[in-house]
Parts: sequence; C-alpha cells; structure tokens
Amino acid sequence: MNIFKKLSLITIASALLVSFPVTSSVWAKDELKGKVTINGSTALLPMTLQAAKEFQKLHPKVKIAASGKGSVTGPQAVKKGIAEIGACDWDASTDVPGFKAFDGQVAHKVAVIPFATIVNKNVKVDNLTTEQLQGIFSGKITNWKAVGGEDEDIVVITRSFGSGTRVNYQAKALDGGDIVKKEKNYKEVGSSGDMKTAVATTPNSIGYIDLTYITGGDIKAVKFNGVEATTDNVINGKYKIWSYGYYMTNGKPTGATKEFIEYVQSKKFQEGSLKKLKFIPISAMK
Amino acid sequence: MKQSKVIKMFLSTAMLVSAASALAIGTASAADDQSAVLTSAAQVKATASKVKAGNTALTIDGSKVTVRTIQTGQTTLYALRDVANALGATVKSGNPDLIVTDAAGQHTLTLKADSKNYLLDGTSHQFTITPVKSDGTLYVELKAVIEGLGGEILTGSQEIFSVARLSGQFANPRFHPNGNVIVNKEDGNVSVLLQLNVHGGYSAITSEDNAVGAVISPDGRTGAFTDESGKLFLIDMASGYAGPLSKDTSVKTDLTWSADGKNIYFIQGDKQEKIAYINVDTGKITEVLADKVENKSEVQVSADGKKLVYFVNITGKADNDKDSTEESLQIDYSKAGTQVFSLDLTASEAAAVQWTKDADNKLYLSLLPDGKVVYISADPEGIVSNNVLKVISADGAKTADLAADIDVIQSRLLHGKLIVVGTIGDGLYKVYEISSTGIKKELYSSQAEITEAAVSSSGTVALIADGKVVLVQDGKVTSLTQ
Repeated sequence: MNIFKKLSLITIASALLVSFPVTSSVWAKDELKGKVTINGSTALLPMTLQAAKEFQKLHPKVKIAASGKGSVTGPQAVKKGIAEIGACDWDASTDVPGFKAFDGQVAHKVAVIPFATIVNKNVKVDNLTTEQLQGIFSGKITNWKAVGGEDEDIVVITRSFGSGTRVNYQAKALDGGDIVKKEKNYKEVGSSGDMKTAVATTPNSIGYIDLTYITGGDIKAVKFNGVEATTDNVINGKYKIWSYGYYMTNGKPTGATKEFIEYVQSKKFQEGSLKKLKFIPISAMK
Repeated sequence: MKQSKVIKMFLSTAMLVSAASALAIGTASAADDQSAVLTSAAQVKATASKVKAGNTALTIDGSKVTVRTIQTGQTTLYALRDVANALGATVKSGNPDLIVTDAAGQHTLTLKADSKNYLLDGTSHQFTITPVKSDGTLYVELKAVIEGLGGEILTGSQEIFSVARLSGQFANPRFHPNGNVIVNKEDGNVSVLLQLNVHGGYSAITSEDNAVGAVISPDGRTGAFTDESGKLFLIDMASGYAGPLSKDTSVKTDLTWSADGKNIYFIQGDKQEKIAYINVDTGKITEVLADKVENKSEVQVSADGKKLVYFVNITGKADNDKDSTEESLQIDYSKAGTQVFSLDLTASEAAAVQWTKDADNKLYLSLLPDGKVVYISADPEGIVSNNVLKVISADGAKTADLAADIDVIQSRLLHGKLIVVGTIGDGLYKVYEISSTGIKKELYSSQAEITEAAVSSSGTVALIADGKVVLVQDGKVTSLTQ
C-alpha cells in the first residue's frame, strides 16, 4: 500500500463543541421485551438481520425472528397476523401494478434499493434503452443482434410473481411494460441469489437484480438509457431504477416493533451498518 | 505491504487540541508590561495595602503548577500571566488592554486592570471582582479566565483542564498504546473517532465517518474498517492516516484481528455466508469457510489460529404456493434465532459444528484462551430474569452458567481476560474480570449506570458510566467527559 489519504480534520474541532439532542445508543438495565417477527423481501433480509443483531445488544430480551419469501409475502403476513413487520420493496399501502393496496397498513421507509439490468458475461451489449428492454421482456426482441449484440438468442431470466424487485423493475425499467412468459429461453427464479446464479451460469441471458448482488465476474450490469447503475447516479437523480424498501405494519407500531423500526431508521444504523451492506440511506434521497 | 512500512509512512500526530504543557512557573514569570496597564502610583499603593500575596498550587492537565495569588477580601485572585502560561495561552499587551489567546487560537480575552468589563471573543462580559494590579502583575478571577479560554475547573477542586471536557454521547471505549482512551462520539449529526487525553484535552483521530467503528489491533496501533464500497482500510491510530488494504469490494462485516495482529478475520458476502481473512502485510484474502450457511456474525479466532467460533442467525421458514397467494402463506419461526457454531481449522475439509440449540438470545461471543466459549444468554420469555453469562466447554459438549448471579450487560475478551459489566443484587453496577471457571475479580463498582468497559494491558479501566467516559487508574476515578 503506497498511497494514503490524509483525512481532513479541519472542521472537527468546532463540530465537537456543538451539543446535539441525543438518543441513547447504549443503555443498561433495559426493560424492553417482546417478540418482533419480520417476513418478506429477501433483498432487505441481510439488512434486517444486521439491525436485529445490533438492536438486541441494546435490548437483550427482545426476540427478533426474520424470514424472506419475496416482498408481497411481507404485507400478506402482516395482514394474516403471522408477522409484526412486512418487509416490502414497495409501499404496500398503495396500489401498484399487479397488487392492490393493503388497507390499514402503514409504510415505514427503511432503505433505498437500487436495481440493475444484468447480463451474462458473454453478452457484448453494455447499454439498453427503455424501449429495448420493453421489447426484450415482452418477447418482441429475441436476438441480441437487434440491440447491438451478437447473433444469439436472448434468454430472459425473471423473478416470480410477488417479487418486489420484479414490481419495481416493471414500473421503472420497463415503464410499466409487461414481462411475458415464453415457451423457450425463459426462466423464473424465486430470489435475488437464484437470479444471480441463473444469469451467471446461462450464456446470453438477461435479468435484473439489486445492485448489491453485482459482484464477481460472471455477471455484469448494463447501463440504462446511457446511465451507469451506481449509487452515486441514484443519489444524483440520473439513474431511475430504484425504490425505497419499506417495513409495513398493521397500523402504527408500538412497543418493541416501534423501537426496532426506529433503530433501523436511526442515523447510527443508516450511516453505519446499512451503508456497509451496500444499501443507500433514506436520508440520501432528500 | 509491510505494516511497519505503512506505519512509518504516517506523518506526525495531528492533534487538534492538545493539553497545555504544564510548567512550574511560580518563580519564572516576568512582570506584566508596565505600559499595558495604566494605574496611578496612588492606586497601586492603595491596592497593595489591601491585598495579601501568596502562592497556590493548582493541577492543570494532570500536572501540579504553582501560581501567584493575592487575597482580596474573601476572594483569591490569580496572576493572569501565570495562569496563561500554564494553559499554554499567549498574553500580548494592547495598551491599555491585555489580550490573552488560548493555545488553539479559538478564544480571545481582552481585559485591563481596575475594570470589571472584559471582552470574550468580541462579546462584553463582567468579572465579579475587578482585576487588581499588584507589583506590576495583574491578578484576576480564575474561573472566568479558565472558562473564557475554553478550559474547565472541576467542581469542588483545584483541578483544571486546559480544554473543557466534551459532552455528548460516547461509546466503545478502548485504549491507545499511549494510554489515552479512544471512543466513538456518536450523537446528533456528528460521528467521530476520538482520542481523550487522560490528563485533559482531546483530539479527533480522523474525520472519516466509516472509521468510527474501527476495530483496533491487539497492539492498539492500527484500526481496521470498511467503507460503503466494501473496501477494507487500515488507519494509523497515532496520525489518523488511512488507506485501503485491498481493492476487494465484497461485503465484509464483523472484523476481528488475529492475536498476532497479522490477519483480520471477517464475515464475507451479500448474505454474510462466508468467513475469510485478509493478511495485513500482503492484502491477500483467504477464504476459510464457504458452506452456504447464511447470516453468520461475530467470528472469533483462537490465539493459536486453530479454531473459529461464530454466530449464525437462523431465519424462520416461509412457504407459499407458486402464485404467492395470501391463503397459502405460512411461516415457521420455531427454529429462528442465534446459535453458536465452531470450526476446527486444523482439519482439512472440516465442517462447521453447531454447538447450541436453545432459543435464548445470544450476544457478545468470546473465545477464551483455554478454548472455552462465552456468551450472554437473554431469555425473551422472561423466565430467567438475569441476562446470564454462559460458557461452552472447549469441545463444545457442555454448556453451563458461568456467572448466573450477575445480570450481564456486556462481556469482552481483552488481553486474554474476560471483562464483564453487569449488576448484582446490591444494585450497583460493576466491572469484573471473570475466569473461565467462574472466579470473579471485581475491578470497579459504582452507582452510576455502567454500560461498557475496557481494560488496558496495565489494568487501567475505561468505562461508559451515565453516558460519560470515566477512567479508573491507580484507584483514582476521573471523568474524561462531561
């Protein structure tokens, strides 16, 4: 390592002298108890589990149990009363294409999730427009040659119905366009991990995934309307395929559920662990 | 990359605010500039006749200094120049005023003899007792000058900090090799990694937000942290210089140093499914475990590098039909919770072994030098009221209470010793060192609410008590923050 950066210290002295209203990050003899169950988005699950680990150090007697099965199962579980929190990649208290609003549920923003179009590493295309993506996912464009690539059939990998990633991708990348099931060169997968594996192992394939999953050399993200899929481009407004991640509750939360949601929304978590898990803090979009 | 080379590349310490050098000044101080304070001979004579001169010992930033004083009525006034020298402040004459500037250049006090009025940073204030000039030296109220120059007098004592202690929310105390205390200041819009001088004063080690959670090496000289891209950085704790150790951008959490300081272990992957380590000399990452079990955390490595233990947060199991209908959705949370796993690193192809199955909340995993594993067990059902310290035998076969009488708040392995914070029946908050057989040695006890503790290799204790950073050294308790 030859290059070190000297980090600016200039502004710190005065900043340290300023007192701010504080919330306790560590507090002993905690009396908070209860069980918080969280189901839904697999994309949000790593963030939820990290927050649970940190929250339980503050509140050792709160039991937090989480599970992931796709975004729609979040508000469904809350409605059925089998989970206190539904993790969902869209605001399930409002109508979205394919899903009616879940009446009586309250949406709490907890993260910003960028999504990206991905292709297998053998695909030569590095940029796709909204119209081209609409053509590919509707089945009207079936060969990479039509969008500037090699003369090879396009294999479409998509998430199953009920996926928050799918809902957001249709709404933002396809501008409300359909994903049409095909007889061949088409596959549905049930999770972000399965999507990554499927595109990585299927030549000439195209899919879509949370930006955080794009690691390793077997898949690559393509630009959307000429804009690279980066967190900076999400924050500066140039890149449009992203959504808030939400915790849905049945009415206003109380007790341990309320405290847990507030912890996830706290600056300590948002600017700390959440960023290190490659999510974007909700405050970045203000 | 040799770590030693890295350290040599760091420049000198960038202390923002340093404790003033404490000088024995009782006899060394020159008289104030005669032209600076205009007083008539009659006034001097009259004043001199009313005051009684002497010397007073003060403790400034941990060092004893002697300051000239005069007694006027019930009030002691202190020689301005002596006090200023002890604080590291400068005094300039600005006929007829004296202008005093603190060591950091942040505060300016403008005053003159025989006037209660003075300016502090351009704003008008008044002394309670008018400054008095005697034998060419100006004597002033101590508290107003100390606080005006950014210092602090501890209530009920003659102990002075040249830089007022910080207030706010502090966490994660640990020791710098120089004996100072490193803490995170995490309140409001400011998150800073700070060094608190045990004799007063403080400095920010870095302005890098990501470094606030830096994990410090066993020798205390180097911190490790990751940024939002996933890159791992090293930071020199003396200079604040930081640099990337690797270009790898995979998600890395739960960093922990090997006992010899050569490797940093961590949980790796989007779903925290792997365990790996990075060599701090070469930056090479070596995968230790990739068994596809997700949600690992708190990896701990034995001092001999032969064994790993870690937590796995086992999720609930949700099922539904292929159309994701609400009616079909079912979730089984019966096996959800945190469990302890172990991995033998000496056996090739060794598989991880699950050591616990109970549904209690498990926190603060430690791997003791003798191979036993300790964690805090909290019962969410409330049947066991205390948060109990549990110990697992070195072979993983037996789990037992290590200290069931303590309601444990925190436990950490520091310098090979298990340091535990908790409460016991008497209602006091205590810090213990506890052996792997349960023998307790009380290190500190207080009515203040202790939430975290660290112990240096020499036995000095740093605490977070009632939100303040407190140092316990040689039986003396000092609050390093307000």
